[in-house]
Amino acid sequence: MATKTIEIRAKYNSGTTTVNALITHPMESGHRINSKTGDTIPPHFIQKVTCRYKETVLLAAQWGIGMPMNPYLSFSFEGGKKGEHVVLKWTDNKGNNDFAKAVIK
Amino acid sequence: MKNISQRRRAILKGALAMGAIGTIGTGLAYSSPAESAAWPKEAFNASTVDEALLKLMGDNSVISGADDLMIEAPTIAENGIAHITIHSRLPDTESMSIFIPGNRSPLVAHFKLHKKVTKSITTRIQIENSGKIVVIASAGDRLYSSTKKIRTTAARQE
Repeated sequence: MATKTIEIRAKYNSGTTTVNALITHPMESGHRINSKTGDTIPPHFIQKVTCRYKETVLLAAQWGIGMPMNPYLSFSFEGGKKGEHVVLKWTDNKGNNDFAKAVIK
Repeated sequence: MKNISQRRRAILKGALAMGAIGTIGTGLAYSSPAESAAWPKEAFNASTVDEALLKLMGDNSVISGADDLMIEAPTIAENGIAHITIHSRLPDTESMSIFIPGNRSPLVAHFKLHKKVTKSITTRIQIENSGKIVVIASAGDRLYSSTKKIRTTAARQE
C-alpha cells in the first residue's frame, strides 16, 4: 500500500494505555449499485484487525460488512510504557493489508 | 426491458465477483499462519443472530439481559452510522461480538481480547434498519447477551 491507511495513537495514563485507530478503507458491502452503470460494486472490506504490544496479541478482531467506511477502533490495556510500541494490522477480503506502529506517549 | 437486462447483468457480475473473491479470501486465510484464526465466513454469511452465533462460537445458548454487559449507543443512528462503546464487567471475558439483527449480515464484528485489555471497546457500526443492537460476550465458557434499541435515519445509499 503506497498511501498510509492507518492513523494510530497510543497514550499511557496511570497504569493503562489507550489505543485509538482510524483506518481509511472504502468498506464496500457488495450490495451497493453504481447508479451510473447499474453494476454492483464488488465487496471490498476489512476482515481482520490485530493489535499487538510486544509479543502479545491484545486484540484480534474479525469484521463484516456492517462496519462502515473508514472504521474506527479504540480500546485500553493494562500496562504499556512511554516510548514502547503498539502495532496495528489489517487485512481485507482482497488480501490487501497494512500495518502501523504507534509510539506510546 | 433494457433496464431489466442491465440489472440482471449487474447481479450476475456481482455474484461472479463475490464467488471469485470468496475463493481467494479462503486461500489466503489458510496460507497465512501469521494471523491466528481464519475469517469465519459462514458466521458472517448467516442471516440470523442465532445461526451466526452457532457458526462463530459453536454454541448459541445465551444468558440474556446480562447487567454486567453494557452498550453505550445513541438512540438514533444518523445516516445509519452509530458510535458505540461495549463494556463487559463479566469475569474472564474472552471475547465480545456485535450483532445487528436487522442487517443483511447480522454479525458485524467479533473481538477477541487478551486478559490485559480492559473489557471495553469503542467503534462505529452501520445500522441498515431500525431495531436493536445485540452484544454477546463469552466469559468463563458461557455466552451472555445484552441489547439496546436503536433507530436509524437514511442508511447508506443503495
